[in-house]
Amino acid sequence: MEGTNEYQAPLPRRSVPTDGRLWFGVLGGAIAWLLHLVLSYLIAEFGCVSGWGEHHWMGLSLVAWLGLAVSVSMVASAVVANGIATRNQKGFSKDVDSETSSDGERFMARSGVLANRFFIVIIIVQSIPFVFYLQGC
Amino acid sequence: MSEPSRNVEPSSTPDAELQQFNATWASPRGFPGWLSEVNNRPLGIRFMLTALAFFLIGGILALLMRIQLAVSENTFLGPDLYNQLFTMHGSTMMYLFSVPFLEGLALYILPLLIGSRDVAFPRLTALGYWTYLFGGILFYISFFVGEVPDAGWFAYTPLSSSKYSGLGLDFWALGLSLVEVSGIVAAVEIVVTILKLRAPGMTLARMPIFVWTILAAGLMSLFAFTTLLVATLLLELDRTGGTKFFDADFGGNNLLWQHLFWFFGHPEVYIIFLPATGIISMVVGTFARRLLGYTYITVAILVTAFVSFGLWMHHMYTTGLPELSLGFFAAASLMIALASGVQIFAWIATLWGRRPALRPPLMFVLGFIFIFVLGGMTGVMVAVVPFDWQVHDTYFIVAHFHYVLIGGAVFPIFAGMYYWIPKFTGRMMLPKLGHLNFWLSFVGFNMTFFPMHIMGFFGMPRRVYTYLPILELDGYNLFATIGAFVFAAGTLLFLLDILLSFWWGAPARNDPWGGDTLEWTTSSPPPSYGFLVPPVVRSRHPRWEAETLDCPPSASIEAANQRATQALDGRPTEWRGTLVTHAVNATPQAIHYLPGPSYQPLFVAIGLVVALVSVLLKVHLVILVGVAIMAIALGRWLSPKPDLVKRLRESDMADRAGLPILTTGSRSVAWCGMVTFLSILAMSLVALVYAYFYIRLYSPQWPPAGVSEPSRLMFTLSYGLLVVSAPALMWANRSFNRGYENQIQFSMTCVLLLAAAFLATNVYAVIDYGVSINESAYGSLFGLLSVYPWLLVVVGALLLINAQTRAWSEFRDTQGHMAMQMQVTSLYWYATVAAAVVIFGTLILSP
Repeated sequence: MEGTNEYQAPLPRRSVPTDGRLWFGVLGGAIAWLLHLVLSYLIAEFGCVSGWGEHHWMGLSLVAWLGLAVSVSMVASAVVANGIATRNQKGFSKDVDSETSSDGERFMARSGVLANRFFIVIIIVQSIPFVFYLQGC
Repeated sequence: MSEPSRNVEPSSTPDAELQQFNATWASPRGFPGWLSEVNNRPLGIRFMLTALAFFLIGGILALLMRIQLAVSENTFLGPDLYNQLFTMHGSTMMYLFSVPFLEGLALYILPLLIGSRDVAFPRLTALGYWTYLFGGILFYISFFVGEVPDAGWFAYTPLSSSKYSGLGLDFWALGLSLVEVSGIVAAVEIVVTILKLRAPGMTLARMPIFVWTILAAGLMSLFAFTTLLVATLLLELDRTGGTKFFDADFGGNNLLWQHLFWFFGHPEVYIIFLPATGIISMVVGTFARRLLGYTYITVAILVTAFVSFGLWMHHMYTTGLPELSLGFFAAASLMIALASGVQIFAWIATLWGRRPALRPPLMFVLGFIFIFVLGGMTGVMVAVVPFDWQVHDTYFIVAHFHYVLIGGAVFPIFAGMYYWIPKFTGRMMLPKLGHLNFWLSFVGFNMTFFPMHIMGFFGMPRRVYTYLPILELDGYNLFATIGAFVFAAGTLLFLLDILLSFWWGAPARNDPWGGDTLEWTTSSPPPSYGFLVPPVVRSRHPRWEAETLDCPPSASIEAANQRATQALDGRPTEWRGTLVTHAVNATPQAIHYLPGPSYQPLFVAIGLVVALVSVLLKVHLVILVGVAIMAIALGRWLSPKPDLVKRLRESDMADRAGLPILTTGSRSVAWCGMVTFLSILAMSLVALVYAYFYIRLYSPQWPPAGVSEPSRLMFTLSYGLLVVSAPALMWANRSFNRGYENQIQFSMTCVLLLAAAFLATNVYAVIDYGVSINESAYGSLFGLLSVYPWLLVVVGALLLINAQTRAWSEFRDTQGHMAMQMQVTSLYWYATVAAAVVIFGTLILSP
């Protein structure tokens, strides 16, 4: 084959995020929401049926403790993802060279910021029911 | 071969070569040719026409129901027939019309929108169509044999069990299984096409909104339809195989069906709704000559796709689930309205201050916004648990979901048809008929469904064939029935408009609406290859602006794009080919070979139908005939002809474009297809493991009384053998990469021997355990989860044998087709081993 034409991206400069950071910035909030949903569902359905709602510690049921722990950790994860997405976006805005980043990547970084903010709000709203069921199910 | 219509693009390719190019892309002639067609455009049209036929049938069923309900205590339909009609109406509209129609539209228009010549796996498109057609026919044969399904489109157990429902439910489950296969293969097709076959320069930031929505819907379909396929498999096994998954007397659980069904059912609404919103964005953008909030809209689409999987329980508020779980599913249900709201506001802002021409596509968009906002608001109302408890199973819910589904799907489909039919047929539709259709549909729809909100508040129950005069709802119902006929008149007018446009419609220009996307650069109708010269995209609106100035491509990217597209100008001439690009940046990566006409998809679908009909008729030996037909057809499908591989290797296209034709890894379309397929397998496993733990949760004793624990030693040994095969295959891959012929053969033989040893020991261990699938839900789950890795291993072993046989002669092909086959086979095998480990953990290790 006469000289390859496949476009090889040059090594990224420091301001441009790596692929892993870029994708975490895009999907981090969504994954945190997904984990929150799955774990909250498991705690509520499996925990309540298994009687975890009857076990209490410091005035709260085990179900409530678990639910609140999952909620706090998943909000924190989504906030971290949003921080990374914001840094990604800033990194791309400094990089004006289209050799090292495409508008596809810039778009991903910006979408990540918007999506993560949305998912933070959803996780917080979905956590509210745990506050109303601190004693049981 | 029929000659495809010529494209309008200027080409520098000599005429003789262009003729050969046209001949390569021409559709095969005659009825046999019709059966072997694999091109996306004729198949997309077939999907849409078949779906429209089912839409008409479903509509007639609805009218019959409305006649029955026009007055109280009517005897036009009896209760049994009414049950059958509402089951068939719902099933037809949800499974046979909405999704397949949008799939057909996507398959037709997608390659044109992204600048590709066809979809990624043309034979898969054909398989999708045949399974859909046969599934729909199987569904409706139930009418002719007098065994019509009557348990609703949701088929709740135990009503749908063999105890309460006859053969009709088998028609429902098996016909539906075929349609689900169609939905899944279309989803694979759509996802891989969008990620890998976009025109150079069409980065993620430049994809048309409709493409974003069908990408989201495709990804959702992979998971949602797979869950439904698992659920219907369990239901059919209960009905015909005597298993006990949903039989509470034997430890099964009826709510499991609802969980699995609604895990599909709720996303299904968004699988329909999201592409419909994509149509709206396209029409609004074109008519307003701008689209505000592109990034917000795409984020809203993706958030909606994600969150829609977290709402399934809001269909189950009245089933006695823990209140805590109802709480956070209610929260998610309320939140998804925000994402939909973002889109609505973006459209309104786009139209604000503009004076777009009120042509039929835009009129249906405006109708959609009005109707869907009302449906969305009632959706927020029913997301509130106490409100839902009051109106559940009343006509308020019927009104709500028709506002969402007709407003959210049928009106956008009408808008899309008026918008794109000139491109499909080359003829403009008749504007006066379009206006009349809109007003009849809009008025008729609201006459039919708005009163149902009030009827629901007054307590009129749904799914009941009549109501008492004392409810004083005769007037509302008669009004709704008249409205239904007005709506139906609008639909008939639409069909008449399509027919008449062939005679009286003005010839359509290439871009009759002044649209911004690539499909408008082709002739109307477009040729079967779409683009003679693959386009290079430099802006989000390629028809409106030459390039986006804030991020112009670098000189080296531009040069790579130009070289690739020039190389494909009217070429390759002897085989069908299109460009593969990077999933994010759309830089050229390879040239993708697209297969031509083939009968194999038809034979695979026939094999599947033979197997399923044998289940229906309980002639179980014939299942083997169906499986054999499928296996032979699949074998021929997956084995490339040696002369084809040779021709591709010797083609000068690679040199011209500077791109490989046969490639590996994420550049390879086959690799992406396999990853997508594995995500389907992963979802099916998740659904089965969930079923296991869900049933176990509500069982007082596990395993049930009288059933011993399985032998840990025997099963550990058996699954251990399979686990060891993974490093053996890694060794084979390393040997292949280094070109060590003997080591390849030895290590692959080791993998096959380990697979055989796993099968032998595992089958023995299960038989030795002696648990019956017919005596308890535990036994049913144990049996099914044991068989699952057997099937994966048998298929994997066949793939391995195929690869090993080819490796005898092609072990030096470390960059080409053989390397791709090794990679794809290995991916599959590692996934099989991972699945077996999960099953071992579930059945043997879980406490």
